[in-house]
Amino acid sequence: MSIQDKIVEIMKNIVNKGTDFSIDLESRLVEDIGLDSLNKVLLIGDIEDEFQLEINDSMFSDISTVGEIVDEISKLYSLKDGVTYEK
Amino acid sequence: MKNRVVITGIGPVSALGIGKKEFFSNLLDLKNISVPVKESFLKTYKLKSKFYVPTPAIDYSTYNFYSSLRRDTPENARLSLLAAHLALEDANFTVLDKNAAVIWGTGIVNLEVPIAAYQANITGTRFNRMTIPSTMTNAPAAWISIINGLHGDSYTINTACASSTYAIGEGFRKIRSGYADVVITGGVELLREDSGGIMRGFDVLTTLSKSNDGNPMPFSNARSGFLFNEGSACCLILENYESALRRNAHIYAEVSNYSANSDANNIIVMEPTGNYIKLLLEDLINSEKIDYYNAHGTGTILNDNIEAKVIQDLFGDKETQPYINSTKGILGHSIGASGAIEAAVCALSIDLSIIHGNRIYDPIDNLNLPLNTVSCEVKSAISTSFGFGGHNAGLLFKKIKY
Repeated sequence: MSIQDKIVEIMKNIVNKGTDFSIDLESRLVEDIGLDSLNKVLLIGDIEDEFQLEINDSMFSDISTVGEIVDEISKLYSLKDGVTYEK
Repeated sequence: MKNRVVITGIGPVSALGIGKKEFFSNLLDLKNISVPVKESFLKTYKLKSKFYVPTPAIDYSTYNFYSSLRRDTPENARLSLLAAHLALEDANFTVLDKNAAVIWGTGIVNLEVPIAAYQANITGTRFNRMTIPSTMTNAPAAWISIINGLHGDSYTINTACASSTYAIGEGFRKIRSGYADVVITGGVELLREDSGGIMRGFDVLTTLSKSNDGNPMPFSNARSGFLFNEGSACCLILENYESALRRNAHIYAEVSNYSANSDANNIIVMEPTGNYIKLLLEDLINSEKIDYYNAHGTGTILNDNIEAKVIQDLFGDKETQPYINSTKGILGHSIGASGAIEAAVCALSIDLSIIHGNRIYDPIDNLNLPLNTVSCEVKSAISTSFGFGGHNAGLLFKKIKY
């Protein structure tokens, strides 16, 4: 599973939408997915757990789409130890 | 309105067994489950108590509620969810009443979460964002409602070692007065902590057993305190008798009375005359004949002295006393979960006509303490719990023909 797919999966679990709810790189966190402040906390926590990263809360203040999350996480993940994410 | 209340499902989770069959079978065999304390417990303090009962290691992924758990669902909630799952499975509802209430008991919160948060905060390592929802005392009750989709009221009762006896008692009152038809009740305690600090907390109060073999022996003259059980849970399904009959449920026993009062004496020491315990029992029993008394029986010098005296005052000599045992002599003291576990033991004893023995030698004189497990009809049973702070509670169970 790619980083993008995993992030979409985590997102769907948190906002509790069914499998037919579509989320893509262009989906906006607030307007399209309906992510509120508590969901954002859960999202960051789950991403930290899944990718074994430590995420600064402020990182999310400039992010508004799923694509931007994927970019940021991919960057942080590759900085870790150069391994590629494969699950 | 005075509805009758019955027990239709039982789900124990402990080192003695997961689920009623394994749990009760090991209990009847008086299985020894204590283990020596870990090396990590002894770094800065020499524990006087050398043995404890660990939290059972459980593979939750084999249970169907696992997929709805978050990675950070705290362990005390997981133990509680498993206990509730087992009890609900046992109760065998075709359709569970979604207005069922949840009344859960716990003595202390699961300290490993706030302890880890403190460590992360002072060392700058990763901080668990779910620290607060995983620490809050209501978490287990909330998780039970969430996972099972229950919309009845859901809350947690706290009265130290009497917590889950109080929880069951309140569940009994709720159904009896017509506020609910089904109550999911019981309790949990999870005091697991790698440095042994929590066990030390009990040890410095001189409440823990100093035995050389991990056998606490409540009601023995050689006793010296209780066996620390760091993690257990137990769930009972209470139901309105009429609804249980209508759906052909298996009924273990009726909960026919509940009584509670306070010693108002001291934050850890029981009131030495046992007067309030005696009043509680008189109120609970109301001149009924009692076949079986499942004692609070921690194994401390003080508790067992007082409890023995009250038993003798109330029931007379050995020959006229009910059979007496202490489940804590086999399982150890699981604090907030102990009341629910002991209520389950009473219900199972009534249902299966068997009373577990007491794994002791040199028993206190003039007490009807069977050393071996006894097969006999049990028409009525009592369970008592006395918590730090003087919280006393008792439940009366009766065999029911249905």
